[in-house]
Amino acid sequence: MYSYQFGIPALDEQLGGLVSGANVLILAPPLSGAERIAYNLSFPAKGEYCVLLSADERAAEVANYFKLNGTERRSLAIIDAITKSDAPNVPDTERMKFIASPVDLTGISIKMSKVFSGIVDESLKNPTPGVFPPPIRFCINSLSTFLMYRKLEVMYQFLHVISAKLKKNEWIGFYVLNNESFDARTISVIKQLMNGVVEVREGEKSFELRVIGLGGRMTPWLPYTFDPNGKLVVEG
Amino acid sequence: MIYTGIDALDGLLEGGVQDGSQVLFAIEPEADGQHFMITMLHTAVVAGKKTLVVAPFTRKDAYLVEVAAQSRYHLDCYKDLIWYIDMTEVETITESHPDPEGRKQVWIDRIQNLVNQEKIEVIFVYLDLLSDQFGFDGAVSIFQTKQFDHPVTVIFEYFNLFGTEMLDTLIDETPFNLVVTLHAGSGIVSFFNFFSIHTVSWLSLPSRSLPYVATEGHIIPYIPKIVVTGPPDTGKSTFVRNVSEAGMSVDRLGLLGTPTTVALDIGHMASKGFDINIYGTPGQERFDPIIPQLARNAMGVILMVDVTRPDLMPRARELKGIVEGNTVVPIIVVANKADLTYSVTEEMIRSELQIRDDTPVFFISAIERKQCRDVINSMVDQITKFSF
Ligand SMILES: Nc1nc2c(ncn2[C@@H]2O[C@H](COP(=O)(O)OP(=O)(O)O)[C@@H](O)[C@H]2O)c(=O)[nH]1
Repeated sequence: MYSYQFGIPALDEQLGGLVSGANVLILAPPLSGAERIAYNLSFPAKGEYCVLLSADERAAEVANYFKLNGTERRSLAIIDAITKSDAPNVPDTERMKFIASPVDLTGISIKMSKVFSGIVDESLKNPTPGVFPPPIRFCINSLSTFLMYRKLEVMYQFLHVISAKLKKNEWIGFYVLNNESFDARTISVIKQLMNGVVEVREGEKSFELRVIGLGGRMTPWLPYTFDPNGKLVVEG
Repeated sequence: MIYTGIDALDGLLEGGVQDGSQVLFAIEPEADGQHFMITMLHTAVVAGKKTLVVAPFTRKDAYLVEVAAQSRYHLDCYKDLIWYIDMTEVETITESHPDPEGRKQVWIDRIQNLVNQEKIEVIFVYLDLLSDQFGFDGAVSIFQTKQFDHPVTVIFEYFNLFGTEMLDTLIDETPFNLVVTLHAGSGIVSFFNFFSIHTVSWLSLPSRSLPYVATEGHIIPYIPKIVVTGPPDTGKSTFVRNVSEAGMSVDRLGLLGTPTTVALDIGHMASKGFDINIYGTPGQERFDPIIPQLARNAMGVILMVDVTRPDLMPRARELKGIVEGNTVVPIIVVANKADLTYSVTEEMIRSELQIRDDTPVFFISAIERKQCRDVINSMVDQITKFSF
């Protein structure tokens, strides 16, 4: 079984990476840089891919952030549910697909499926065979936004279908949720689908994170910052 | 009558959809199924029908661009025929009526007034957000046809995340005249999608999953494999060659990894709106071990016998057993070379081959293209319409 690394030394040392099929919730207050934590965890390692569903940040900006941090273009695919609402003519490409709004889960599902099968197809044609199916880090930024548009039950079911697919293919998923905009019930329903949570709080000097539930262990609270390129730096 | 615009589906429905019907396209996760409704919308406006599109997930301009990009249909050419209720209006209604009951009444009035005033004949509704707000049955009830002063056909698209059982429950509570479900193949790379007619009120049709591909936004129903088998020299190659469309190639595929390289006839044709691949299997006994693999996933089997060679019937029966394995697929028996003198009768063939009473037996001459095509047309009916 393929095993994923966090790509963050402090976390990999403590937890020894992530099991494939895992779903990880990033539960964070506003202004804590939650989406950047999610992006950092989603950076594809060599031979991996990242598929990102964005309702919060435009594909062009996301792509730029990944590029600054060394992600190759072919390794990143984005399904963007915001750009099209004010730029209706934006065309789909193989790696960037645009959806009219976060309401359109049907369109998202189809385009995600095309992106996934495009990546799998490509890896089949690759002359230097790697792991099959190719390892993919999937990320939604953010569940908070989707939950503003669609009912909790619908989003739950949507995530349930996605996590079955991730599990089957030994992929992993990261999901950003703002912990201050939703009631306890919403958060606990979403947590049911998760294998682990990255919790974020405001510490004394800076924001801090801890990882719970992956591999049965819990890290202590670890202060973090971002370097000028936006790379996550965790102390500890 | 309103056509779906997909020939194979219109054929199965014996024309199309009656005016005043309520139709549901239920799309399961990952199925490339949005083209069904879009094709139907396009077909309706081309036929000059006044239509209303209710699309709460998008703004009108983005919708038009998406339809043009996905399906190559330029709906903006039909400005005078299409009315839209898009995200902008939906948001206004939602914001100004926070109470769901009051809001639902606003919707009912809005739809009724618009449809009656403009004499709209067909409504296309994306249920997504409306079913979040009012429940599935509540959302559908906004478009109840009896509130209109003329017949109105309503076509709904629903993204069914909740599985087939849930869909059955929803449909029990809210009946439709036609329900078509769209689902994706189960592999990592799912080449085919499937459609199935779940319910149809004016016909009796078995619910059968039929593959399709969506290329360039067009739905092409597909029968990926019909197998033609039978003893050597009964006319299988002749048949496959003669059903194949002019301009479509007949491949002779060399299959390696067998004791002797096998030459396999593959023909391509269209019948009743389906694109079809036809595979002729070799008939010699030494190839028997590979036949189950050739026949795997076949949607139909044509068993060919030579009317001048009654002595080969036992061999034909043996091949039938090998091809069928333990699956149930429709079979047609072709008694070939009926242009020559022969003495076998249909009864003899039936008893020698031990086929079911409802399995058709056609006496043909594979030299005649038309007779070959008739066999395939009948095979498509067997695959799509008959219980077996
Ligand atoms: N008279 C007559 N000959 C036929 C007919 N169909 C095929 N044949 C001939 O039968 C021979 C065997 O046909 P072929 O298609 O190669 O048989 P296969 O081995 O089953 O593929 C050829 O000489 C054909 O021309 C038919 O309907 N009538």
